[in-house]
Amino acid sequence: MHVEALKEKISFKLNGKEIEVEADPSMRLIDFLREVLGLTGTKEGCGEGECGACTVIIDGSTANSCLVLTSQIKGKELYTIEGLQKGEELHPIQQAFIDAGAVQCGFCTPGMVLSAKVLLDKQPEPAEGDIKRAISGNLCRCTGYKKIETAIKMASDYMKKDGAE
Amino acid sequence: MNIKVYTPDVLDEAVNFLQQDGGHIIAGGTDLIIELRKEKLKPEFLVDLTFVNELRGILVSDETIEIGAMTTFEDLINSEYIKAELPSLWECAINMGACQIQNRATIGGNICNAAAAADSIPVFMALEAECIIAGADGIRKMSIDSFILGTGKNSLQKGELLKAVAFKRPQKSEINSFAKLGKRNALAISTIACAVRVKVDNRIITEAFVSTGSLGSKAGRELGVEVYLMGKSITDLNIDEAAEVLSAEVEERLKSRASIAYKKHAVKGVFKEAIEKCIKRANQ
Amino acid sequence: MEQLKVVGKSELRVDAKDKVSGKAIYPADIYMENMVYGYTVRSTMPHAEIAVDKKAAEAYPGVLAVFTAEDVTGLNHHGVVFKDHEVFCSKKVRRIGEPIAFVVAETMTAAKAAAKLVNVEYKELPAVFDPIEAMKEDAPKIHGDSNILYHYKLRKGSMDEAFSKCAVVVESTYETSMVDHAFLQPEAGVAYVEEDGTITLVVATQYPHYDREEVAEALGLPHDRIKILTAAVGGAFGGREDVTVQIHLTLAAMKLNRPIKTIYTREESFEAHSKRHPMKMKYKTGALADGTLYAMEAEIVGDSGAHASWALNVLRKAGVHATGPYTIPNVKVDSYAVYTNNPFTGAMRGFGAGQVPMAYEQQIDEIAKRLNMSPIEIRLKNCFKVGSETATGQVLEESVPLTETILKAAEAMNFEAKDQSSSRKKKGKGIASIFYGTGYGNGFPDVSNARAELKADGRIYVYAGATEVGQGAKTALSQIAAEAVGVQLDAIVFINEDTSKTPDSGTAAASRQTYNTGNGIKIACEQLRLEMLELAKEVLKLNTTVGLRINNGIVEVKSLPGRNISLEALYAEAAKRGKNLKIDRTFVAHSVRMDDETGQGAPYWPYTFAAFGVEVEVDTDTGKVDVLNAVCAQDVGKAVNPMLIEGQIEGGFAMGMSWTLYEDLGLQQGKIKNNNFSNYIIPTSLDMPEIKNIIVEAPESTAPFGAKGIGEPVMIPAMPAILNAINDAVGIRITKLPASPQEIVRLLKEKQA
Repeated sequence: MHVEALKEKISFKLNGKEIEVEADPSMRLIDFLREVLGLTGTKEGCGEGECGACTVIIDGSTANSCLVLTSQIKGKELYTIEGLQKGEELHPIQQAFIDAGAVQCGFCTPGMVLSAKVLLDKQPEPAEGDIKRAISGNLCRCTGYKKIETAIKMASDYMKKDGAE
Repeated sequence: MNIKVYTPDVLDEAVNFLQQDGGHIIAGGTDLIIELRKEKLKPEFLVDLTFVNELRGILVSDETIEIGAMTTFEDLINSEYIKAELPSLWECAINMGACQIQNRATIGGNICNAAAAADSIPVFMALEAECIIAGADGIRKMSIDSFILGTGKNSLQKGELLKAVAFKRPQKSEINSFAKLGKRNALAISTIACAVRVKVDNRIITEAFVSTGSLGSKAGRELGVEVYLMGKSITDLNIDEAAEVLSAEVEERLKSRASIAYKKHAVKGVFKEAIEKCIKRANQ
Repeated sequence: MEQLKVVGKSELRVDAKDKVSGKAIYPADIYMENMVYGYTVRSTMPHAEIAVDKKAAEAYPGVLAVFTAEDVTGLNHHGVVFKDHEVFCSKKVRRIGEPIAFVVAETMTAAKAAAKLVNVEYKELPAVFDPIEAMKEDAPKIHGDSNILYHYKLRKGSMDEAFSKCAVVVESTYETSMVDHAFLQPEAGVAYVEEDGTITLVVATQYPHYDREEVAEALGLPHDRIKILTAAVGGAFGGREDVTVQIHLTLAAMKLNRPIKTIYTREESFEAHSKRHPMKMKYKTGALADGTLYAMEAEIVGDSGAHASWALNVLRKAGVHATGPYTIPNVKVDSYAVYTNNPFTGAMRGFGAGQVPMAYEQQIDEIAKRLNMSPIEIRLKNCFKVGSETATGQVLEESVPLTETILKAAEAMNFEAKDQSSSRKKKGKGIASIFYGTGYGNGFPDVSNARAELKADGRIYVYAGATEVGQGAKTALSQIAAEAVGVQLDAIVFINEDTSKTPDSGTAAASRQTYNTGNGIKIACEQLRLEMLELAKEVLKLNTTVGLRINNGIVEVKSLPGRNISLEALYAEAAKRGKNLKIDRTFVAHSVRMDDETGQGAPYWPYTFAAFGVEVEVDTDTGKVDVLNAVCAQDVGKAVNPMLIEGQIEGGFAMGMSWTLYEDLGLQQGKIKNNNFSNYIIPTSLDMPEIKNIIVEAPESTAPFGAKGIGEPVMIPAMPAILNAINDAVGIRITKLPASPQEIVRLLKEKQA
């Protein structure tokens, strides 16, 4: 049966900008981002919060956007991978992922980068164990995680330097 | 998914919405949204508790601790009090899922889903926690043991929601810990979980609370090993013997299950890890 | 040889920027105007005759069409070797998950809802799930008269009395498990009809040119009406070799003339693609008193599931690699591929050469133990060296640095130092050495075409149908091109995404792209360089090309840099003369077909070697194994890009470890119970050990700049090394994968009893 979608106005802050969109509040956030807003950097790998490919940042904490309803983001501050770079300039974490060789197939990468961002925002100089824990909700089948961990350490250095300048 | 979603700001409003037929609560959503996607659940409407602030928070008073149902596992991890005084709860929180899940999943959701492998339930059982339930007629309370009826079953009546869990504030003489066995070191559903709390007077265990998860249709206290532990010295404890008591108890309870050959053995390792942490803390 | 300028450097990946910024387009990321959605109806029975009624589904609001076998316009089949998959099952289903219908609707929701209305009546047939059972004459037949679809025989020396001469003989049976590739990106694709009638299919695949052939044959279309665009590929590992969405989407786009998309859920992905062949391996190995391996007999049965896919090639590769990288004078191997009603198995990283080390590496350790030798000593004594002859009679003439990998791995992990822990958690160390033969093998034409062209912007455009599946092909092959032409990496534009533009370079599998396509690109680029220099000589009025060099986009006389011409200008000069600076070249790897009765021949070339050492900790109560440390010594021929190689090694180790300890499909009567990531366990960052990479170089003269393929060999030693370490820790021998906590506890109890 075709039911006219139940829609309501949802306002929140996305990648630094206040927005208001008509949407079905029972839509999964990942579908809302990809289908309604066209932000396809957020990937779906499992649909049940195990792989972390759909990671976004909500009010400074990571979340699997496949396990969030659109109703739950009203008034919140949301970041997706598209919100990290400034124009053509990559975020230091993104640059570090390239420099460290942390990218292979790339499907887990946006989620990994966002998990790294939340970690480094909270702990600019994380210990090795903190890094492992921060990305333990992001599965990667290609890299064995080592180069990703190196990238996060590298990013910590880059950001320290940026901050010092 | 074309489901009406109510987003109340206060508890009374939330309870009011729940008086209608066909509704379902969404707390963190980390379990529910999977069920919705797979159409295992088809509620007519959802009551989203995200914005009910009074349901979120850890209230520490002289006598009791009260944890709001919408408190996330991340909130527990970030609480200095929990980390210092309730390592069992803190270890349970930091070993649950991974960051993304800890940030969204709530204590209330974990308890109400009543999964056999729900990590927080054995911890709250060892703490002898009470569930505080809000409904149209006000508040009622019951022990967590009676609140959980079995896998996926809780005692909430239509129109009710879990408001908080509360338990006595641990005294100086108490030590608690948690250990879990999963298939991997993160994102793991517990194969076996074990929470231990002991009261110690002059190195002697005067009271013991041991509960396990994933060893039956609901988490529960392990009375045999509790009795064994009482009166023993925490520093000279024969851990292997205690583990055998627990193992025998579990075997008796689960003897008809296929998994018992493994679990009766493995539970010893999980218990030993938990009790060893207690001993370490007693020695500090 | 002149010093290499681009090859050998850890150049940054050319595809990384798009991937870190979320701009890389995977097939699911494509949205088109007027697009419709397709959903696949799959069999729920492992073996049954079917009758399909689609009327109710067709009548569902929003449904545009329901395609079944009767709608397929060409031959209703596909398959990489045998055409034994139906596009849609017509009369019978042979496994759970086989496609029966493709429902197309205005929305995915409508397509899924209507799919439930496709009425499939099943008349259940007797099914068989154990390949040993399936070999019996009275077993239910999956296809045709016999379920045995392949038998490989390897005979060397004489087995008469061979074992009686041995001082030690070990014998056991081993079982590897059926596992999934678990690439992160589930299958998806988009197809649409272009204005000129071309049907474009955007998909994540390992071999676009072969997909085009499969689609063309199934739909009765000429090749040039189909164009395959390879989107970003979210991991492959062999699981994107067989067709999944390709024919369904093309058919729907053609019939409906609207863009169409499908995306599989993770659960559907588990049912849709191939799996790793589980193998039952009966092994017997004997050694002389001094530790010389003397005789080996092996019988290997691989479960092909309901389709052949690559079963012949996988069981052949298993047979050829059955001895391990050791000289053994007397060998008898029989390997069989057998149909069952299980999920079908096909290509997966390791490809048969990955299963057999479970047996040969554990047996060589057992022999060492009984002869009181160290695992290192016995390997060094027997392992292949330059000049060694394999069991197929192939002489390894060069690039055999196996001894070096073993020594380096042993040294780096301080192999002989033992942890004397007495707690309930026991530590142990293990080592494993392996070999892996590159390419399709057995005389099959292993062809890589490549084109190199100088264009108006002064850059070199390299065209090859070699897919970037995450392994770094685009970067490594660009480096080879840059080195061969003599330009910098950023002067190379590498195009591999479009079958209408690229020549066929074979599949991104069999660890063959660096070697095969690398060679094709190298010879095309070298010829292009020669012709560029020849033209420069003419334009610059020189008497020879000797003394010319390319420097920063300029061809100049080394001793007189002022005499020069830019590559842009060179292109213009070529155009003026009506000359194309465009070179097509083909490389064919050498491989000599084996004798059908004895398996003697030179099936693969080159071989790559590796030795990994690991340290594990085993909890004797819970049976949980933690891998604490790993040392990976990997022969690479010549490292084209060390950073990419390290990434491959670490990822390969993770995959090998995961297979050994965690992965379990929970297969019951052909049904995959563990079909999502909460119960199909792969490791997280917190499960991985420290990994020390040791890259061992031994350039291979037939390889591009000496480089051999490493995609598969980097995962193979992980499993046997872990199993040997578990034995060292607690004295049990794992004969069935996975080495789960349950299995470890069971064996520990058995040992106690």
